[in-house]
Amino acid sequence: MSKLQGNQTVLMTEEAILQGCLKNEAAAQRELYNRYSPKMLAVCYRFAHNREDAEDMLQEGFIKVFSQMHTFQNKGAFEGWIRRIIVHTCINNLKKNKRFNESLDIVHANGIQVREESVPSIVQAKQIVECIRILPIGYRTVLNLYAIEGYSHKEIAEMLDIEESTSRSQYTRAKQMLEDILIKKKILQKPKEKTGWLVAIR
Amino acid sequence: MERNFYSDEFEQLIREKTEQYKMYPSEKVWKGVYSSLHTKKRWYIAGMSLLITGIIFLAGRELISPSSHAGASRKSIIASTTPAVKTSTENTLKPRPFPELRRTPHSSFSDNPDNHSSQSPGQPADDRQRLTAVTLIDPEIGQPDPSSAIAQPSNQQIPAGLAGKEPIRQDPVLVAGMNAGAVLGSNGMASVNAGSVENPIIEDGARNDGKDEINKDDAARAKAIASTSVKSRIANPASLARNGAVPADAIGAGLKETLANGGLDASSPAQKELAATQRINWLRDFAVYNLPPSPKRNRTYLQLYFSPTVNYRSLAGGDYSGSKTFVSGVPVSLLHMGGAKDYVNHNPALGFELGGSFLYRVTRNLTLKAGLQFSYSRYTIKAYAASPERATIALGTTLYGYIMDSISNYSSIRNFGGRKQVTLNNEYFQLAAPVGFELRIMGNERLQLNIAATVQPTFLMNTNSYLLTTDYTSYTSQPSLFRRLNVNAGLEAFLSYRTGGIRWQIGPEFRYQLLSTYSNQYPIRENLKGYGIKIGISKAIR
Repeated sequence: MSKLQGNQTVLMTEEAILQGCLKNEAAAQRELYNRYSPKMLAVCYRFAHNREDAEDMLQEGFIKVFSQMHTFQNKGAFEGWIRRIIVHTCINNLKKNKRFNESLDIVHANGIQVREESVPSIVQAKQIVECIRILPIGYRTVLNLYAIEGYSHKEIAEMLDIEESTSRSQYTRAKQMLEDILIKKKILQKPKEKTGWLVAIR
Repeated sequence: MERNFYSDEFEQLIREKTEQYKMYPSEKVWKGVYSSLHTKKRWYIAGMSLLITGIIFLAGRELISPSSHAGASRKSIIASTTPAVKTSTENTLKPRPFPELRRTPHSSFSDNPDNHSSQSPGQPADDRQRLTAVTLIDPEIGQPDPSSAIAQPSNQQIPAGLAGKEPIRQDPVLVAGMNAGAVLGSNGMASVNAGSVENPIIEDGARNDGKDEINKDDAARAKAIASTSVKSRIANPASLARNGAVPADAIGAGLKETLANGGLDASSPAQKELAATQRINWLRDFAVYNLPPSPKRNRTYLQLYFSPTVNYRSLAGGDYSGSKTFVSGVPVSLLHMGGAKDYVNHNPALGFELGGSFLYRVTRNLTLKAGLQFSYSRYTIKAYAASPERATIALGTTLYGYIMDSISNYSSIRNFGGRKQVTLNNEYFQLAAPVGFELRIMGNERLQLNIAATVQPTFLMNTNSYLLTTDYTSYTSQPSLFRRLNVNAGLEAFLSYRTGGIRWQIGPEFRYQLLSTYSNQYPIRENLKGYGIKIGISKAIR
């Protein structure tokens, strides 16, 4: 695809993409994929064990997106609709591979050693994502769903087939662990005694 | 800088940072998505591959080793004939030899009296074959060929109706000759009139076994051929002697006896006429039942064909970077460097061709053709709907690179961007008169591999097409810039298969438009091309 055609891709409206995808036009599907796959791969990457697994999830998720395109009713954001499909695909994939259940039993992850190292002054998104990925997969999943994807604990409990209280406790521990990791990696500063929970970005 | 925040701010920070993060998937992800979404194409490709492979396999089998199949066919014929012979030998009163006779290739020789009379000493094998064939067709009168083990009837095989006729079993041919003479003599007829011969053996058999279902027609034919065979042997006793089937003395004695009885007095005009009539009858029967249909050498054929095609185009020209000036006076605001083909997003689309031709077969392998063909070709262009704006087409350049003139329209279709994507269909309706030839590469009369080439003077009947403006930003319609008369070239390869009087053909074809779709004034040159699968039938008309 030429550079010019790439510019055309940018100019293509979302409505045109939707109409094209409904007609099963490969060009429109490619446009949609080009537009959303980078963000969605990042979502998958936060859930997955490695990049290869993330790409498998992405592929499966986009196949679902295209095959269920007719169910999109323009009631919400198109990106949000795609994202929900991708997240559910990731969860199903984790369940299928039993990686999720195996790691969810880890209540305490104190054994995780995070080496203190200096990081660039500018907090990089990539570093935070990598820090999230250090978490045990059970913690990570609940944290991803609650803090980043915005699901409630009730929804998470249904999705993961766990108790709502379990989801809450998992999230509390996951958040604490992530804070520790970020502080150890010097991405965050320890909160001052006066302000309690306050932390600072360096 | 330090910034304090509470727990929910921590969540917000995580959310913001993760939202910023993007990863770019490898190309294989899209390939996986695409292949699972467009399975129809894969099925189509797989189906076509299977079809073509099957055709090639069958063609290769037929073209490369036709002899083995012919041999197999022969074996199957022999296999189907042999039991019939046995059956007919065992049950001589059931007249079944004729169907087998028709399928037996040797029978065409054995029943022809001319062939018998022209036997030469150098053809003993042929003689045996002929005699064998005679044996196959003459079970009723008990003429087994001495050289044929299959046709040798044993005493047990001879039915009751024939059992009492000892001479037949002892020396069939001789006795057949004698019998024929006797029969002829008894009827008082001088010629060998098979149709009027009363064969006592058959009649005896029929009388002796009244339950045998003898078809009178078949019996009559059997008698005719039997007597003809006898006649030929009697008329050419030397050949019988050469074969060793009958002692010469015996033949001479039998013949003398027959002549003495007045059986072969062919001097009477009435008898001559009768013989001639009988010969004509025999020839007619022979032609109907024995001779394979001789292929007619038709030279003129009518061919009808249809071909679904995938059409595309090649673009050239339109590169103004070499122009000395960008035409003052022509409202061209922007000129892109490079050719037009670099700035368009066009895709192939389906069309079709439909036509008929007269074929004239010059030689076995070369056929000339001329006909009339309608073609509908199209391709698609991805463009964008936008607000109407001025669209300018610069017309031609001089020898020194100066643009001469321009045409300005208003267009609401943009090439680079707009509010909504639209797909333009550039359609062409053409009438052509293909003239060319077909050349047989390999194969036989039934299955052939051919190639063909045509030159097709073409008339553009109608078009629904858009042209790119000089600055490549818009598409506009300008029918005056289309060339009405053009020339196409066609190349094809096809397999043809004849069933009955119709020849079917299928094969790929390629069509290329030699001159640009547009007139010389338009600086961009477009040559249409089409790939198709041509399916046709042809039938001899003269």
